[in-house]
Amino acid sequence: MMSLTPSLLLVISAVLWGMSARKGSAPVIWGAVLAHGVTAFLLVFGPAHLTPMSWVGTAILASFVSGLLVALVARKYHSQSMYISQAVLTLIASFWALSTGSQDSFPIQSWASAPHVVFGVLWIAAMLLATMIAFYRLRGRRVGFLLLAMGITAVPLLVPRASWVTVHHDGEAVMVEARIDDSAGAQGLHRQIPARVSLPYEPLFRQSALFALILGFVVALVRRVARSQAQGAGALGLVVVLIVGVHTSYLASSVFPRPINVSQDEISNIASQTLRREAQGTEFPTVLTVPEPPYQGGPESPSPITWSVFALIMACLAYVRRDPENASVQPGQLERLEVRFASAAMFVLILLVGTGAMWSDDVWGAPLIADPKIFAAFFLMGLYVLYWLTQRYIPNRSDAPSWILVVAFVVLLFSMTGPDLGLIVPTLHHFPG
Amino acid sequence: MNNHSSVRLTKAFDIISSKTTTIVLVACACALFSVGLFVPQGVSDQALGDMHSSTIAQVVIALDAHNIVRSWAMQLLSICMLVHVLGLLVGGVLKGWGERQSPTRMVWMTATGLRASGGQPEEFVRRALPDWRVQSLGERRAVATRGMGVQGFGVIVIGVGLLISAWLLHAWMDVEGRIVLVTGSADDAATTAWFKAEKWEGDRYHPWSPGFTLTCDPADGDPIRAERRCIVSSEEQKGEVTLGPSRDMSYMGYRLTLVGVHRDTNIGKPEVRTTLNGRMQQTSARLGDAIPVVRENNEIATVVMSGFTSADLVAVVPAPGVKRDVVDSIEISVIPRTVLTFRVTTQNYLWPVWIGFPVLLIGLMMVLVLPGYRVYVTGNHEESCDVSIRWNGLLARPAEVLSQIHQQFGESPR
Repeated sequence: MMSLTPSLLLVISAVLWGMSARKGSAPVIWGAVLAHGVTAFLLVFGPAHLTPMSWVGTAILASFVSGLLVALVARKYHSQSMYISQAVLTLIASFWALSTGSQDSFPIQSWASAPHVVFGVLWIAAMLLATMIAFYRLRGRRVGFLLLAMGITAVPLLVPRASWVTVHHDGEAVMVEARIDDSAGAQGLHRQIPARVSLPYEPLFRQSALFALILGFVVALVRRVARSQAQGAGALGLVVVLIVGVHTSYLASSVFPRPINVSQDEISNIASQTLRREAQGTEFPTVLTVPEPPYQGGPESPSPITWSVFALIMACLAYVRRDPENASVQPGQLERLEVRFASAAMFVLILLVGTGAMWSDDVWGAPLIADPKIFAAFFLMGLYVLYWLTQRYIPNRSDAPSWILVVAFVVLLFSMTGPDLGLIVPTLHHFPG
Repeated sequence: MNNHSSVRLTKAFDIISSKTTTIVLVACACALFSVGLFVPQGVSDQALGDMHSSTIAQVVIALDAHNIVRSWAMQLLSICMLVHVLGLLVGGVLKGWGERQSPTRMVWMTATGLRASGGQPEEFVRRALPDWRVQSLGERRAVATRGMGVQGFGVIVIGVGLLISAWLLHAWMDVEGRIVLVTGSADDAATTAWFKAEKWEGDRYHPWSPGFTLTCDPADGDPIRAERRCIVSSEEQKGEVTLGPSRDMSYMGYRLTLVGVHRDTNIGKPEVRTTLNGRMQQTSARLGDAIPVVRENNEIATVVMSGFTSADLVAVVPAPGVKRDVVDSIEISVIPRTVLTFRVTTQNYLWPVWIGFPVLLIGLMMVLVLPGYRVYVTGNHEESCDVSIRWNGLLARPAEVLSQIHQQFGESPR
């Protein structure tokens, strides 16, 4: 069942972070941390519906740790940018908290399992902070941010799950029952999966957002090639951000139940596609049973909303005015902070992979297996090494390291939400949204 | 060796050990790892053909993208990296670490115009930072160092070298194979006939004789989560183990991990269990076979196999004169054969991984966590010195170092 308490607490925390950006008094800042902390406590120990076993739970815990670090270090550095970033992150976390999440308990299968989860939370927190600073430092880089926003908006078009909502009946999720045959034709397995349908008009909204972003990108590219001195975002920027914002708001509205007119066949087709994709050609659903209507729409995975929110953030960052450095910030101060968080992230990632290898050796029979999450971890390690090298040895390309961090963040998004959306191959890591 | 070949050799060595090569190789590794996110790993060529169009499947198979860790591209990259790491080590020793350090962006708090005695940088830095290692970089430049950044880099190189060599050794020297078998009682002909062992050699599995045989009993309930009794036997010894989820077998130096379970009604005859008044009768039958149910040497009914699941009807024909309630109390279970796939591995050459990993971690700690400083002092022509500080490590406090220099001279930079 969906519980609103964690989400409301996170909204309160986000508002307090926003207030801190205007007037950073200690009670307001620590109030924001406290509200987030209570959510994290509910998550781990309380009767809340989320557990650290889901990527949503891990991400909410990580955003709490990042908030704690912001409260500790922001006054020393550039407080306003970090408070605003943390406010946005906490607002996104409030959507994550609406997820139906995972009911699984935390499995203590190996001595390395608990440290692995702790390092996971710490790594994501360090990663989020480093990326927030990189976003701030790169603000106003129109071509790069619009390109990323285009990618983030376009990629979900490749998979149908981005526009799905879970079908409900009398407040409960409708389940489709399926009989599965294996490739030899033998019957046996019976599966139950939630009934899902496409959110009406979502593809249209997404395509409009993509079109606006492409338009903005082309204009920005032409201006850049022509070395135009015009800096203002103008009406175009406003329109692009507005259209992307409308798409994001529409997608976010899917977390609330609404009457939905859909046939049993449509639900059955989507369930069949889902099962076929999961089985990767080895098993086939034959008889699918779908309960009778009426149906209501309801929240599905928070992954599509997360992608859309980040597309909106990138569109905003593309058109934000690039003011001269704040007088209160010494030159290079934010860069040094970014380096520190990125270094911490790299170090913790090594520990994360190490403890994960020990856990994997116990439960999967080998320290390293061919799993997409592990490939993503090695990919990210490579990106950190590239970050470190460009930071040290490419002094003239000052933006390159920050862009590498942004790419690493997109890889993290792929790795976390990819299995939910069907963007990457199925993973053995039990990490549902 | 003439001058030309010497120049070529130096140039080749510079390329091997350059930072650009590091960046290119790491970027290539990232690209190869990203393949694992989008292409299912370890699936057969046939399954790939079922999943994708012919063109995509052929490209994936040609590039070994469905087995990216073992692919020729990854092995080539590993060898290039090993050569590059050796190049970095040799280059570091030959050219000296100090000279190889190129200018960096993380130069901070350049204090200009600190008055120095006679504008001698070396003397200046010795007075300013008395306990530090000081090295002259020519007449007008000196550097003072503290920390373990260079040593940490060396340790990282050793750690990475160990991990890469372990990867190659493990891929080339360790045994990796698989055993496919069907469940049934140990003396079952189908069970014995379907035992198949294969070893990975080159780029495919080849028939293999591991020196032992393995049989497993069928499990009741969920075939994936259920516990099952397995017997592993060779000429010398015979062992029995109860296998469940997350439980491996170790036998004759091989590690056997259950990695695949699926039912197959086409293998052998499915097992049929008939229970009457608590007494179980076990046999095997094909579709259409008639199985007599016997009590106290009297046939009381005949079961006719008509399917393999609970959804299919099983015909029970009572013998003449047998009461209906006796026939109704017969319980029938039909259990199709389950195919088990075990991964068989040896891990004799994995020890460099377990050594290389902590070494890498220690190296990273020395570079990324512990503080390291390089303070460059350059004399100018006004009998004063310019100071710049480079540092690494999360715990580094460059402001405190600069403050120490200021305190030593009792003045702030001009």
